[in-house]
Amino acid sequence: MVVDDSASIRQVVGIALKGAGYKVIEACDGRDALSKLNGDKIHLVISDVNMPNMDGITFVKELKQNPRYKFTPVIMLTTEAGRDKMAEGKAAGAKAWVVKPFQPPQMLDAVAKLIM
Amino acid sequence: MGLEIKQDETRAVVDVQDEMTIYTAALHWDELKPLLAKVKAIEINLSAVSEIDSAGVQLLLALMQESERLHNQFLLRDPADEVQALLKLLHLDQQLLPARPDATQEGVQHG
Amino acid sequence: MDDMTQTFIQESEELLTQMEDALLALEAEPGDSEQINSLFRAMHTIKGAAGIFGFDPVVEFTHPVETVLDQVRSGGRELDEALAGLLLECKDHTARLVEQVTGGDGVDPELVSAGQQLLERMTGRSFARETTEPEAEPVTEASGSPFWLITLQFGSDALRNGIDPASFIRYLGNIGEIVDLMTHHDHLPKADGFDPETCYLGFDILFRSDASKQEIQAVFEFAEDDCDIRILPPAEIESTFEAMMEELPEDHTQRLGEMLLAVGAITEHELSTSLQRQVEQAASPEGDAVVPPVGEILVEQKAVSRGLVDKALDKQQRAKQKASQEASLIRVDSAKLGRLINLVGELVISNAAVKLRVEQQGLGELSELVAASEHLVEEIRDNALQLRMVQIGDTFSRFRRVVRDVSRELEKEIDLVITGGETELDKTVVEKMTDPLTHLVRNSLDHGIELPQQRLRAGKPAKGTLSLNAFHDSGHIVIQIRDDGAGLDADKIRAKAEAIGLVRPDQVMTEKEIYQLIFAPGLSTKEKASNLSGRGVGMDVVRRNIDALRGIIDIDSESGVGTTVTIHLPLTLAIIDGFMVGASGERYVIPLSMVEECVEMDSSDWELDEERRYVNLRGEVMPYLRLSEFLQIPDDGGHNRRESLVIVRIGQHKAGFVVDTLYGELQTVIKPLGRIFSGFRGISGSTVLGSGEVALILDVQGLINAATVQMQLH
Repeated sequence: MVVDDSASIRQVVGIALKGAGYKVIEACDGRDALSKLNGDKIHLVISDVNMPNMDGITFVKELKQNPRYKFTPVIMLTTEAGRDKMAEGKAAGAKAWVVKPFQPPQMLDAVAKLIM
Repeated sequence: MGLEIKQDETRAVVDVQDEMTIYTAALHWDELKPLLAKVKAIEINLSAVSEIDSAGVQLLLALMQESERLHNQFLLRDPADEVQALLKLLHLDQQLLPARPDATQEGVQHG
Repeated sequence: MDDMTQTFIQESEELLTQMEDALLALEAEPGDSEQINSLFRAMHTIKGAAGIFGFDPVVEFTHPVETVLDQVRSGGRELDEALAGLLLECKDHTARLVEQVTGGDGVDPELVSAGQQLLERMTGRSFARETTEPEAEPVTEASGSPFWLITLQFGSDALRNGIDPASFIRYLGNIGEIVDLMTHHDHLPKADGFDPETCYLGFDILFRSDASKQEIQAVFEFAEDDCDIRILPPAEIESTFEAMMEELPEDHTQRLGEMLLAVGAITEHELSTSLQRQVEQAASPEGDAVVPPVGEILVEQKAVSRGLVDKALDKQQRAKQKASQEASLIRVDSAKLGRLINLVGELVISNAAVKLRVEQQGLGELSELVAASEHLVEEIRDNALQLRMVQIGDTFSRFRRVVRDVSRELEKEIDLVITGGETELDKTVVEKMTDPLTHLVRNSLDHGIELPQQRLRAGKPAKGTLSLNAFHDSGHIVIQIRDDGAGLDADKIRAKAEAIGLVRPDQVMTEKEIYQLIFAPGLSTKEKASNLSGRGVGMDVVRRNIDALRGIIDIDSESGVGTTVTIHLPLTLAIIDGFMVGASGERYVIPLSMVEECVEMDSSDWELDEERRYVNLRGEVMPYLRLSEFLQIPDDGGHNRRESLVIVRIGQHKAGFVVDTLYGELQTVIKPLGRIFSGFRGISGSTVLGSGEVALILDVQGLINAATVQMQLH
């Protein structure tokens, strides 16, 4: 699942992941993402931090509350300036980070480390 | 879905028709741990395992260790490809899988 | 133009329109946080997307704008009319940039420099020559051998955190060949203790790869928090031992065996067998013969290479030499240093007096001379103070022993992590900190970190961590004692405080305020007092010690996660840069590092609420004190005084002091208070001014506390 308020980022990540053979669900913010969780297994969540309606950290906290998804690994997308959010994100349960701007292969690498 | 357990006085045959991952490890353990104490031999059929991760492997190791402690027989059968590949990656295949998986086992039928 | 670029253009347009809408909405309703967020997000998202497409000019421009908006968002900068205007220009500029970068003809240099000027106007900083720093090239370690030994021990939470060890190992196959692998499951507990969601696994991997150590390390980047990772090229294992040996602290070099043990070159078992053998040989009939040293025995038993033993012996030798070198340093009685610093203080004052006189008499040609001597005096002062500065590391290191002994006694497993040991502060401060630090450390060991079984049950590693950290922060030194234990139990503390009448049951308190209660006399929450701490004496003494150093102490705690005690201390006790104010004709000095802001009299920026005892400064509410009132200075008759406000801050605590006059900055020497003053609240010392007058130095911490209490009572 890819959660980001930027349609272009969703598109880039989506195309890269689909190309690598993953199925991708897209959501535009935390609230949208939660509404799209229907109990189907999700192997990995990629989420932005700064989003309208519900930010990434709140989203991850909520996700981890759900017994169905509490062990789902999360990659957070962050900017260089957002590094101070890392500790907060880690506490919420996101263990992996990819710093924007990234190239699609970088993202695929990060994904592969977690769910290869 | 889940575990199908057939047991008599001394033996149990468990058919795992489920994933063996962190999501299922606790459920499986809760079901299998009491079983270990009751029987003298346990056979786990892994042919229908849809997905396995380190938690699943660890669970198998724990079951094996506990069986050894109780001097029980412990046998993993017919691992699905994914299971076999992971055990091989972790160099646990020789430890956990019988030398010839489909050798003449006159054991209980499963299915 | 491809689809994705099209999406980017469209998205940027939408976001920029949102930005304009938000700016206009903010004109009507300033401070609307939703709109400010929307501004920030527009720049943030455009920057992020542009970065992925490699549209660097857009990133370079939007990044500083985003930073400014982040300041606005966090209240650090006001969104006034001027800034709003600039932001509108930024919006237009971004639109032009997006147009040009996606147009394919590159960006017009004029547009770039227009952007730089815009940023300069907005931030006051120059962007013209700013170049992005080149990424530091990773130092690749040249290694003769393509074999690496990777040891992974995963933490108990790894699986729960979505970290699947197998996945990382599989990934490893992408950058090399796994030659051999061993899965360690010897940490698996027996059935009753086994938690299928806890990770007990460890791996040793023999790995053949041309990748650098950094590249291999990067594979496990996401597992770092949940995994103990060691990567050793076998050829380097030996040299790693040697390097570790180099790093051993000097006071650990007495015994060869212990040195080898400390770096992990030999096991405890190997050492004890060798020592045993040594004893046997000494007691044998040929006991008169030379007893071989331990090193020889170890080499003979192939426990360790001769090279390493020689290295260790060499290190021992050098440590001895260093010790004798140290003996050639001059030891000075610290009382003598104290006198020197006092004299320097007098010099500072008398220099100020000369300066004052020169200015009063208008002796223009002298003022240059005075300035030069002032500069010298400052240097002498700094150097003199430097003489008394010592690193705090030695004090921290002393706790290694305490931690080791106490954890053994309590049957706990505790690691001590020390950082910032090189931070320097005044020796007198260090000496006075030893006792409170000891108490805080013991408190963490005793009450904070749980027993290994409890920790495992809570899903934490059996081994607890206590960290001691020190660093400088704007004229202060900050010392942190942090544990990853159970955290403070606010309910329990509160209950106890109510039981002994410290707080009223109906009193509303924040968690932080409740934690502060543990510094009150007679409060200890441990049901049963232990050997070490927990008899309810001590924490109040800690507080008193730190107060006496003009420091402050803060507690942060989270249930199940741990407790952090943060102490802010002044760098030195003797001389401060101060800010002088006047109230009812008296002069007072506030340590400059604690002054956040001064607001001139008659400013419309602030407003006192005399009823409820708070001051409203541009929307921020904080407690205040009127100095003349609080210090009970007889009024000098000027009833319609025009007052000014000084905002002071220590850590997160802020208050306003209402004063009559703002005199400005001065450098001053603190003299301990005479007996007459010791009963006065709110005063921590005195100083003599250049004019010969005495000014009192305010105890800012005490005053902030008093102001806070007053505000709460009303």
